Amino acid sequence: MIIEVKDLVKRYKDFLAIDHLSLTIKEGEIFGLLGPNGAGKTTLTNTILGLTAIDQGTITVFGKELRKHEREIKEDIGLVPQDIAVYDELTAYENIRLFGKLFGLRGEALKNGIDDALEFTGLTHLKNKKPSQFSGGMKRRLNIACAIVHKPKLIIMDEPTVGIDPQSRNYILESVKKLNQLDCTVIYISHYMEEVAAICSQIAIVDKGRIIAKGTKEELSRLIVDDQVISVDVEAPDYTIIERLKNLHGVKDASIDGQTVRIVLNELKLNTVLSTFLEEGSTITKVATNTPTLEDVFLTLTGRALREGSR
Amino acid sequence: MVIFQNNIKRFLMHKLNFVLLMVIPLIFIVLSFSGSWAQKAKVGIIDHDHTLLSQKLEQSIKTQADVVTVTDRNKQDQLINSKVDSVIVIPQKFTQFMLEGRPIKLQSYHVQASNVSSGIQTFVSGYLQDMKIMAVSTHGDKNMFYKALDHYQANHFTLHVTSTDTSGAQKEKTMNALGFVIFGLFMIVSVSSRFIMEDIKLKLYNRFFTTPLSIGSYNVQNILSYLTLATVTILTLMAILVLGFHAALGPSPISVFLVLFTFSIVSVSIGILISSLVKSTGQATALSQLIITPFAMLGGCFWPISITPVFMQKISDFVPTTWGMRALTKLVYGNTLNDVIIDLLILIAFAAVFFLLASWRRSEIAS
Repeated sequence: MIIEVKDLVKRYKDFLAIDHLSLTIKEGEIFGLLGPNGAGKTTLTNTILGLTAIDQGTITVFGKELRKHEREIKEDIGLVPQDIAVYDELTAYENIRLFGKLFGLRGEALKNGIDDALEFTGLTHLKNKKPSQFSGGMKRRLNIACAIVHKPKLIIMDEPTVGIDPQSRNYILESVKKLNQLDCTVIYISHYMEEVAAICSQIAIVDKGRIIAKGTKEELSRLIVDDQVISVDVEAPDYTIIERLKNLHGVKDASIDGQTVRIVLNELKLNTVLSTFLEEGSTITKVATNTPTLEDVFLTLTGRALREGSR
Repeated sequence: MVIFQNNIKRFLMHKLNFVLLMVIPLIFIVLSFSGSWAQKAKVGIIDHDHTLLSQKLEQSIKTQADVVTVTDRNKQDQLINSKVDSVIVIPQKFTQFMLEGRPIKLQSYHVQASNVSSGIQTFVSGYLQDMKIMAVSTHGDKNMFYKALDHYQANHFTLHVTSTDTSGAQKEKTMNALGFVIFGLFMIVSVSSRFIMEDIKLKLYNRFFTTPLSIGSYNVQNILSYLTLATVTILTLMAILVLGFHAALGPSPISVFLVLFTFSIVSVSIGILISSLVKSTGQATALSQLIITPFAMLGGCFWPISITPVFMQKISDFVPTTWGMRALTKLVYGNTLNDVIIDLLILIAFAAVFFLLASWRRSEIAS
């Protein structure tokens, strides 16, 4: 195991950020941590990185207890933070060099580390430019370069694709796969379901400081494999219909996303659902049945959406 | 020492930092030494004794200051309108009492205590002391006393004309210049708090600690970088003072350096405390300015504390600039490092308290 978290508890005064959480991550995995804002994902990574004191539990990384071997462990971890954390006044090269030095690289090893990180992120031709001259996607790539300059065994990526164009996003997702092929274990934190589904070999769904489900994408989908997901487009849907649908026997979940009412059901017939709409006086414009996705799994397990709207 | 090097680099990249620490104090140093206001003191003498001895005393004072004749009636106006810095009254029977070895006290008046007036007072008391010794030694023999006095005065003249007179004004100017050096060093409060707040704002503060860097090492390297900048500032400004303006830094310029260096430790500690209290770079800058200028004013960086109201003088005991300026005044006026140990200890105590408060405020990296 590259990471082993046992019975972790973290409180901020009265708020329980991590609630008796246990987790294991194997070497060589791309491990997805999925959950809405405030679920406890960043707090969990902060505790793994020793940035936050814990109230209870143990964290073991690379087989060593974090509390006793923090400095040693950190030498082999790279964090790509959610925010772009680089100096605007330094060039790309100088920013990467700063982190290389902080990870203890010197001389030829430092130079090679910087060159490899620049090449890996496709920033070699921009190495003497300052981040203020970069696009959002380029800044994200520089953020990654700073985290991989020392060739870590474990990389934690916290929402690395927030606010960037699709091209840069694909570039980053491909980079994650490439890093993994270079024997690097990756923890990929996101609330973008499709990203996690596309690249992660193992996924844990986090909510309210707990892991509520864990497995491969297929294993998670099997949790609701017997269920049927129906999307009904209606004119002006309201929450009265949602309440009525939820009270029907056999409906596991119902939610509104714009004009679409999404219903997860396991025992009920479609015509019963549609009758309910008609009884409410709703005008149905479209009906579709879907295979359960990770989003459906999350909704079913937590009863709430991962994020507002969609990209 | 990655953070140390990075801070020095960041400092040098921004001209404003250089202006704050070096250029502003330098401008005021030039002004301090180019002004004509620090010339010889003007002393008014009222002689009620009209004897040979009182005239000789007047002659001696003339070697130290410009002597102006004043009367009992106009002495107050002369002082208020700054026609004279102080007035010395020689009482009746001054000579008689002196020869008889009886105690004599000259009355002196001044609007404000300053280095100028206190320098004259010191000179006069020394002179009287010497006369008393001569009076006792000559056992009331007038002729012998005046003979001895002539002899003494001949030597006394030479001694003071070459030392006290020229250095007094220079010391005054030096103290004014050092006030601005202290003010410049106090600007480190702004630089240090801003640098740390920028690290926090850019989320680099958290990111740094995902590397093997410890919070202790980060703090130490930060402190060392600011102290290095302070040392370079002190040495540069002291070199300019001595080589460019022949400033009178007293018998031990190294002690002056030590006081200034200790004061920069206090500045750094305040900067770090501010960074632990505020939430943004803007707040850090605002709070720094709220502290720097009032502390500099209260501590006597711009003018002598003695001209401020009594309650402000009492408050000034609680600001570090006061202790820095006190120590520097003592050193410039001929004292040694031993005489400023208490002032240095108080400065160190200020720094220790501020560092402790800062470490108490910031206990967890990601909260």
